[in-house]
Amino acid sequence: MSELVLSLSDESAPAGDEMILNMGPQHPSTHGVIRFIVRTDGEVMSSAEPDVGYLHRAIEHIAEKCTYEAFMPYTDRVDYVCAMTANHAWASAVEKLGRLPVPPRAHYLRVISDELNRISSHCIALGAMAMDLGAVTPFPYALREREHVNDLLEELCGARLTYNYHRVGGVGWDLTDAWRDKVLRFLDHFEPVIAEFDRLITHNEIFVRRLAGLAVIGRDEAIAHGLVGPNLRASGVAFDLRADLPYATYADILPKISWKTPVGRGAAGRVGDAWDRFWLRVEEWRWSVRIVREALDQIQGTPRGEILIAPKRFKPRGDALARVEAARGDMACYVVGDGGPNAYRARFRTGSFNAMGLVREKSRGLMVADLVALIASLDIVAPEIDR
Amino acid sequence: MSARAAIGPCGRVGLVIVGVLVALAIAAAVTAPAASAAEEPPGPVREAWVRDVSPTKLERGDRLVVELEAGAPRGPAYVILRRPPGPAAAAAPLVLRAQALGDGRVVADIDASVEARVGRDVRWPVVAVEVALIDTGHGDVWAATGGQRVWRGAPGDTYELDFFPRTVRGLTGDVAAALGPRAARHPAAVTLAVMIGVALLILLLVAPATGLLVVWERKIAGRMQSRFGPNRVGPAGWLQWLADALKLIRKEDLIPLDADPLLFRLAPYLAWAGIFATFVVLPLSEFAIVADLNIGVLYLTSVTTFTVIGIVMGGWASNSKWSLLGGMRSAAQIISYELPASIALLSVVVAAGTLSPQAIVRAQGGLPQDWFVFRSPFTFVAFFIYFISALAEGNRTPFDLPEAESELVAGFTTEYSGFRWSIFSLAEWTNIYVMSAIVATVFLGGWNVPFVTAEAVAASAVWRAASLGVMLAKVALLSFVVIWIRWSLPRFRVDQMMSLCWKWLLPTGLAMFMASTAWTWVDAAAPRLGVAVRWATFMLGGVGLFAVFVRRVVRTFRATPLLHAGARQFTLPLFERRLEKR
Amino acid sequence: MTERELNAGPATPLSPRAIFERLAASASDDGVLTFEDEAAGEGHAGARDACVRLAAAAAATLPGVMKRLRDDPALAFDFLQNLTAVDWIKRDVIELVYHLFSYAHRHTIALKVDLPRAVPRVASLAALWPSANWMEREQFDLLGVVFEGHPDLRRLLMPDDWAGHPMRKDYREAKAYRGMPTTRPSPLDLLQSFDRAHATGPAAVRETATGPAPPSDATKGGAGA
Repeated sequence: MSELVLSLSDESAPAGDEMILNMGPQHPSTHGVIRFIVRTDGEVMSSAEPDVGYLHRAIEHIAEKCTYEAFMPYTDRVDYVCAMTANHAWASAVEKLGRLPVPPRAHYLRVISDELNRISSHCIALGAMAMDLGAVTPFPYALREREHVNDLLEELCGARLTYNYHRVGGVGWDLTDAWRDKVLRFLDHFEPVIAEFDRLITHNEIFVRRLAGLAVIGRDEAIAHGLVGPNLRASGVAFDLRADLPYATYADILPKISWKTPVGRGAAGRVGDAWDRFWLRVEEWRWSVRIVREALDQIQGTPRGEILIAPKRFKPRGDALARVEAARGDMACYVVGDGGPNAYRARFRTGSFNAMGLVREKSRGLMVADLVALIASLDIVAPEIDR
Repeated sequence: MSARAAIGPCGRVGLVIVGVLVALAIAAAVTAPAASAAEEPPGPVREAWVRDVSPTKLERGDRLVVELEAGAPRGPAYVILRRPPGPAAAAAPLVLRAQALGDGRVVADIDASVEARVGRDVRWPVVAVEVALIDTGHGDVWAATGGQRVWRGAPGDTYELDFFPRTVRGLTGDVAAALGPRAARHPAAVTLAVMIGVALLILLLVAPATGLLVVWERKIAGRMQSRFGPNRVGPAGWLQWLADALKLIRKEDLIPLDADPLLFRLAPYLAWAGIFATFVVLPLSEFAIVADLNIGVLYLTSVTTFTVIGIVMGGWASNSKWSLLGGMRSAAQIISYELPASIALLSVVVAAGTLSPQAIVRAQGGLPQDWFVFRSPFTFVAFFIYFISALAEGNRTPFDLPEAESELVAGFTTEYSGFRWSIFSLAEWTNIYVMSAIVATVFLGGWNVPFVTAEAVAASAVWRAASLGVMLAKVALLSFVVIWIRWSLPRFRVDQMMSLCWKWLLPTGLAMFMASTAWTWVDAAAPRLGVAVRWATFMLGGVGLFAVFVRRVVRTFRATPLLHAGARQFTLPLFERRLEKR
Repeated sequence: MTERELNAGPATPLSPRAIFERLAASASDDGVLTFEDEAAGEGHAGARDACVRLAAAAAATLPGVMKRLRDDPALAFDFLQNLTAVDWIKRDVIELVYHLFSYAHRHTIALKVDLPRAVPRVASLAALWPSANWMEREQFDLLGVVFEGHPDLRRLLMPDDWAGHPMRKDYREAKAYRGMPTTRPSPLDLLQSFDRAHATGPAAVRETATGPAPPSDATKGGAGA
């Protein structure tokens, strides 16, 4: 088995005093089963080569084996930390493929569930990042809030992690007035908690020093390497799919809350450093709260119960690409149909996949402790990379 | 990099402060009034002073050596120890038969008769020493002989003598005496037995205390994270440590195949020994100290270095890259932070004038303004320097790189499991007690009971028990602060940790040490200025900082809402009932 | 409404046809590039996004075309957002679909090229867009498309010594991988054989009871109050 270690692109014999360290696939802070082959000289790394594929479950292959509608639960597993947006990506792609109509209430429900899931996904991202840097306390704080969101989503669709909530043509369940009130109460509770979280960790001197100026990713570099989502915005590119290529009902919601795309400002060090990526996700928390409030307000103008227009005998031929703004960035779903009930080809291009491609370059010259901070700041999760 | 850039701004400011103070000290010394003319002894023995007396800690079998300034008599002599007249001191001086050796020294034996006259574990704080060549029994030898053949101590020259202090050696003597004449013929065996006995006693008392600290830490951590800590095993969870200890003892003894067989097994015990050996000199109360070494502080800083050996040994002998990395990091960290820690302690040692822990405690008072931390701004800064360095030496967050779970799995303890791991863990948590005890002793007044003087504490059993309570309360409070810091802050990276030590703490520490030394002169020369600065430091540093802290806590409490209206904002992390009976 | 990052001049999103015309006009490769417009079928018959198709015979000109797409200031496609390889086994081609996006102008285009299924080779675009690096590795891994000039073409998701390209339509998994069998008995078969072996299982119980209660109807889409 030792030959498996040496799957390096460059020659694997360590040079001089270099040490080859194996980080993962079981490791407390690789955010899933990912393996890094780290060559270090003391504390400073000369390279950190990612070795992915430990969580490859052939989801794209499975898409060819089940019908478009039946594939929905599998999309949860494409990114189980933010499963709603993965559902949404698949539903959007198939609906675009078949030019299927979707009732507006379903769009609002999609927006609400997406944003709630974004809140809970960022709870994991920010809490885990703080914990990776040694501050254990913010993680239970964030998880406590995530539990509230999990409870809300469980009441909505029956599941806490892999929701299978969106459908081809709408969503699965409608909301009730009681649930709406609970969500509003949660949002009222959550906003000051964001401020508390900021006081606890975001502006903590040691935390800032660890992250300021770390792994600065410039604007052009971010675009060329395909970074998306919060990573891209932290590098200074003001692009958010919800605002710039709106889908669902974002075009109605965002103007009402005076949306302004949050962009990294380099407040701690330089634009595009790890702290900016952390801070940007905290900002996204704030914006998600406002979006959900507005959506819960606007949804009352849509007729109850009309949440799904299920296609019958759905056998489309053609192809379609749909993009949604997932928690980890722009998730693109490309689906090809050949006239059968199953998809002919499904492809998910996820934000973590592109971010992982950047790690090797960025890790040169960093220390081992910084590698952990880098991965955490890019919010990389294994299921998105491997699918 | 130029030296100037390497020192850092704190060092430069510190040097300026030191320069100013040195100038002040020189000015004070120059302008201080000359020593008042002593009452001149009449007669030809004007220069016959007693120069020095040693040792000041007298145990059975010691020889008291008095050195004379001039004149070298030979033959029998008498050493007279006088205490100042006062309500507590008996008027009669202690006269010891001595022998003048002819080279300026007079030697007296301290034996059982002395002990019978003085008593065990007695301290005479102000003793004037005289040497006479005739025996007058008692009374004023000077007057009786017209000043002939008498050597006196210089006016104001007094000594502090400890008679038969409680030490292991003394204890050994007692045990040997109790066991009878046969035991007295094997003193080494008796000494060994006594030492092992004392070590076991320390272990028996400290290990459960450490276990309680572990549970308390988990409860505090839980409360800080909106959850309970352990609350099932034992009353409100307080026996969790026992369950964990029993489980760890029963675990399989795993040793990696390629690990060094001897060093891997030895490492935890070295780390543990370094910490436990410090309990010998920790003054937990006026009476509860195993050995009041007069080099106590030096002993503390040197014996804790065993821990480094244990950690590096454990890291290397595990034959694992992660362990090695952790061990190296830890060695670099601990060795680096030894320096500012020792220097900060020395700042206080200079102010106290002694390395002995009990003496340092006695030099302080019970109330905060009498503590060394507020003695001058320099010792105030030294307090923070020592506290930070002690955190680093104990591998506590924010300096817990050697065991950074998220990076190194478990650092140098990766390959350790079961009982061996529990020894490492025991060492680490006991170190919290040790560092808290050292801080409390050196900076925060130790076992001094508020509003009670040290002599009164020594005299009364009630106050002695209270002193134990005071010291334990201070240790508990400081341990709480250490735990609090751990669960609030992220950790430093290795280069940040090193630069903090070498560029900031060490230059500042050196500056504080030199300033504190200079301040000792200034304080002695201008005591009113010393008192004023002391009170200024107390008001600004102590009361002021505390007020700022309280205000911030109140503001944060007010700004933080609770999800459930009926919940309490603050509960003591001590007693939580089980949520439901099972 | 939103801030816009401007590369060169104002953001002017072009329609796919306009993109194609500009692309075709910028070089003299007539016939190589064709435009397939968006098509919507009736009912659920499916729809097709607009795309630019590169003739299969001219697959070697792909890097040049891509470079023009990236560098032309009016096109400015700075983000290779998706690369998919589709295995059309009936047509004996592997179709590569490149989706490009421009942050400057906020327009999208898809570019498709067919490769012969037996020898699917095409030039790598990793030099143009670093994001292509891993995407090409993945398509190589799963479908066997060889990207010439790729700096590091190894398998990405599958183990390095895996045989075959799993997303191909004619892929059959080997019976074992490094000694580990790749099939296992169906859990249903196992359960049923267990039940048959032990007659006190559900089959026996059903005969004695009055009959199982009908499963409760969990309707979806009707929870609105």
